[in-house]
Amino acid sequence: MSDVTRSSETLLEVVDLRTFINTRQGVLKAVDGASFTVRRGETVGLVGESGSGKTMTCLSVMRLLPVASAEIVAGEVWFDGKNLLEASEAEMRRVRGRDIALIMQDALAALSPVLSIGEQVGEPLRHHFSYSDADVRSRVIEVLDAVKIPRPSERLDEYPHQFSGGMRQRIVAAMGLGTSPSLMLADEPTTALDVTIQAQFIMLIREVQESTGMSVLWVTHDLGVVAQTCDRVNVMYAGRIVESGEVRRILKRPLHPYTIALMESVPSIGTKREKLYQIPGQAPDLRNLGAGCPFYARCPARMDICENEFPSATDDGAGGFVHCWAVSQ
Amino acid sequence: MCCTRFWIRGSGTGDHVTSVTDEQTTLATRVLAASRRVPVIPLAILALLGLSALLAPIIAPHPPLEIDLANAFLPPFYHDGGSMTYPLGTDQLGRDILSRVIYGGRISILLALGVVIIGGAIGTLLGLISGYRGGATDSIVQRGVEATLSLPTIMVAIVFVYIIGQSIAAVVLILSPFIAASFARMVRGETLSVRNMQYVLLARVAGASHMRIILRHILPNVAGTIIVLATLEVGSLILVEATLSFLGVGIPPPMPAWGLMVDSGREFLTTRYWLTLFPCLAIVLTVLSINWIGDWLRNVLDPKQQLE
Amino acid sequence: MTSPILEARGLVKHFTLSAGMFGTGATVRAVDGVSFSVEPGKTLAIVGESGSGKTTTARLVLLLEEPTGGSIHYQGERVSIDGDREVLKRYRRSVQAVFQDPYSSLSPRMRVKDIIAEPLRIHNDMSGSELEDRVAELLEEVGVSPGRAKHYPHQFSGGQAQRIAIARALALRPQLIVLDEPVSALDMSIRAQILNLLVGLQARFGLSYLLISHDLSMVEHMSHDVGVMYAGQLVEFTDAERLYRDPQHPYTEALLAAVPSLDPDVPLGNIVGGEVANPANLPTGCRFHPRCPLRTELGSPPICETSDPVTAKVKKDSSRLCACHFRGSDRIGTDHDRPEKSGSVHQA
Repeated sequence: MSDVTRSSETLLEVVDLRTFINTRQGVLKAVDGASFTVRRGETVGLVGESGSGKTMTCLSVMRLLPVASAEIVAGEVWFDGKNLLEASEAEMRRVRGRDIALIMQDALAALSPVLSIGEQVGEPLRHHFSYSDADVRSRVIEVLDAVKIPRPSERLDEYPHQFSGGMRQRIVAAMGLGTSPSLMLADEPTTALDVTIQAQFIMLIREVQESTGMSVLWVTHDLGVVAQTCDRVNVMYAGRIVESGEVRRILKRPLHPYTIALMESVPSIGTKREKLYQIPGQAPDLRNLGAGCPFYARCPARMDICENEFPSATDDGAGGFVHCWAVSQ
Repeated sequence: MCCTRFWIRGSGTGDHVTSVTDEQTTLATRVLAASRRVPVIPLAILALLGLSALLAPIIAPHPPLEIDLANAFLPPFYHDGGSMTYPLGTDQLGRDILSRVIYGGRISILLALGVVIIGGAIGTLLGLISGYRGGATDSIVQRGVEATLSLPTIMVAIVFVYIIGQSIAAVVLILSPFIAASFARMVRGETLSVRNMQYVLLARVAGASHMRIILRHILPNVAGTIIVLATLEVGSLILVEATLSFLGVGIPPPMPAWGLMVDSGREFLTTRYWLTLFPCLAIVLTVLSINWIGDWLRNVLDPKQQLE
Repeated sequence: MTSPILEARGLVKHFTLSAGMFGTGATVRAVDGVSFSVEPGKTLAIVGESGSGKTTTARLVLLLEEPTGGSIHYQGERVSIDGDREVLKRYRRSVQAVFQDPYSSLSPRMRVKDIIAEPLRIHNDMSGSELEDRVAELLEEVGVSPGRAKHYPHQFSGGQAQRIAIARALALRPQLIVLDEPVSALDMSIRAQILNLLVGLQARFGLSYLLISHDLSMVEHMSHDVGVMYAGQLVEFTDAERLYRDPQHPYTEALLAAVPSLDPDVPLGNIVGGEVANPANLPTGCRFHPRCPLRTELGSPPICETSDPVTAKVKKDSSRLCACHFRGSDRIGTDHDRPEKSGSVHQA
């Protein structure tokens, strides 16, 4: 990241976000007190497995909760000086797709098969701005070119099925980038892509960031992707952020037992291990979370206090923090 | 929307489905769980219907064919001149409406069941074979099915019965192929999708014979659909039979049939409505209840539905 | 060298897209002349991206598809769907599979105990209490409590369901198990459990694995030999240690360069551009040539476009293969094949 595009100004600040879902078997705490920030020009990672709450966090920021039974019950989401959770729906519609873009994993599902890519990439432009048709078209070509779709002026009338998986994901990115958003929420955008296509995509987003200064909240479960894209990382488990910090600090000197376990359990090229570390047990039932640390049952470093009290934050000495009693000793 | 499945199972196959206990395994317990949502009213109606059809000789107050001209056109009990001897009144020949409705139901149900069983069995067999084998077999069966389904059922039935002569056997004979075609199409579709499921491929890898795959893998996974289809077809058959009887080519008189009763009561609709109303009500309530139950059955039979 | 337990010789599988509204009548050359062998007790991994043909290769090995050409040999004997029945039966007992999605692999309407017992029932191996005991034994082997055998698959978590799938694969005491992306559908923290289980089972029972995957890190962890597929062909084949340390083929280099390192200070390598070759519309000559950085570096020698290195090279021994005119000890391309270039010529 060049210093020109980065400043210490905070773009997004999420404070103690809680999103719960009412199910027949109880209240499911999808996000249970998540706090993090994203600065201008920065790339922040949100790492976790399924059930960690990372997707629901993104959707909560956009106030696009997937089911009627889901509700943001507490917290603040400060974006550009405004608390989005208190904004009206009309105000949210101005933010969504214009200042904050959201791209997700399944590009095929995000694209309508019956509309041309030109129409789909142009839709946010038409919705948010009063461009003329010619202006929209030229902007669409510009954006498609920026995401490296070959011959965009010819291809913008083609349909999604005429493109490969990697190109479709880039088209989805184009849909988000047309309005020059200041923040992009990318939820596992490369998980379904081949590794060479993933690498292309990572480079592409990096280039866009370098030229526009856009911030990215990169949600993933892949620590390699995190290493190659993020400046700072938040590790989520069972709806909470258990560790946060600079990417080098997290990857080279992880503090939280879950982060450590995750890194030990993932094979990586070059590090030969006899046996991968196995995290025992399984993820907790989000309907039955106690007041203690959600990782308690599976933690090799657990102590009595962990079962009853969620650990307070301990500074990691490099601008980040970790929630762990064992570390704060 | 990508996330609706997230909190049901997890966007990966996350290991946090821990809510199900040991109890929810047998069919009985699944039914019990579903009974929270059981549609009680239609079930009660159908139970009543089934019972009365079964016990017709015992419950019906009068023999349905007994003519008693002296007591013709008696109104239902809630009118002046009516009585509980003939609770729903009598028709133009003095026959008790209630008894005829009961007996008519019996015949309608038996006929519908018979056709569904015969047609359903043939259709399921054809659908399984055609879907599993594919190729030429499938093409031939499909052409046959399509041809049958493009024929107008009622008209063909009318012509057929007219030529052969009116009888229950004739009705069963002509309606069975239509039901068979409908089952064949549905079962073939399901077979095609199940056939490519990974667990079927793995059964092949384990060396399973074709018969085994069809009976142990395809059929159980298609069974739910078959039962729902059967239920719904029973409902539609009752309507078809009523239509045929109404037109005079269904169940031969003097056997009581709902459609026939509706037809013969038609000319008296404004003055003696009860000849038509009660058989009509019977048809409507029966078909409605059957459809309702059919939907509910589909939910009960799917083991996965119980998780939510 | 021990004789291989499984050998694929020149496997070919072509599909024809039916001509019609959306089809073009083109031939999809999904697998185009693939040969490899699996040693007893070892793991051979086939890696590739989408369109590489690795999944189709797995299906051919499992005799779920009939090859358009080539043959499969098990312990020296040729096996095919319409071949000798006895040979086929033996093959079915010896070669099993575990697929990617545990829930689709297990019949939703069958209880777990019946799912695991099925292979045994098919081959009339056991019945009654003997069968029950064997099922319990298998469940314990994979780390699932035998008391849960009467449950249905959807009542288990993803990791447990995959364990059940593995238990079923073990039921007949096979010699070889085809693992098609065995952990890709599972959460990170669960993958380690399953991978450790698979490695443990291999050591215990002397199993051979044919591992199909796109996850290069996982492959390095588990495999003894690795074959890299691109557009239906094997472009490199060698033992795992050598492949990761000293990849020869430019595509293998590109793959490894694209895997994001966990060290933020190690950037992504040279990213190769373009899309994966379309098996219905392949480039002439070397299928990788339109995207090949080496070709660019060498000034686009014409041999890359005219000659397919897979067929052009004569394999001296099948333990190391590199299908590139300019790489590998048996490379064909010489200085004569490179176009005139001013300045220094970079030695491959």
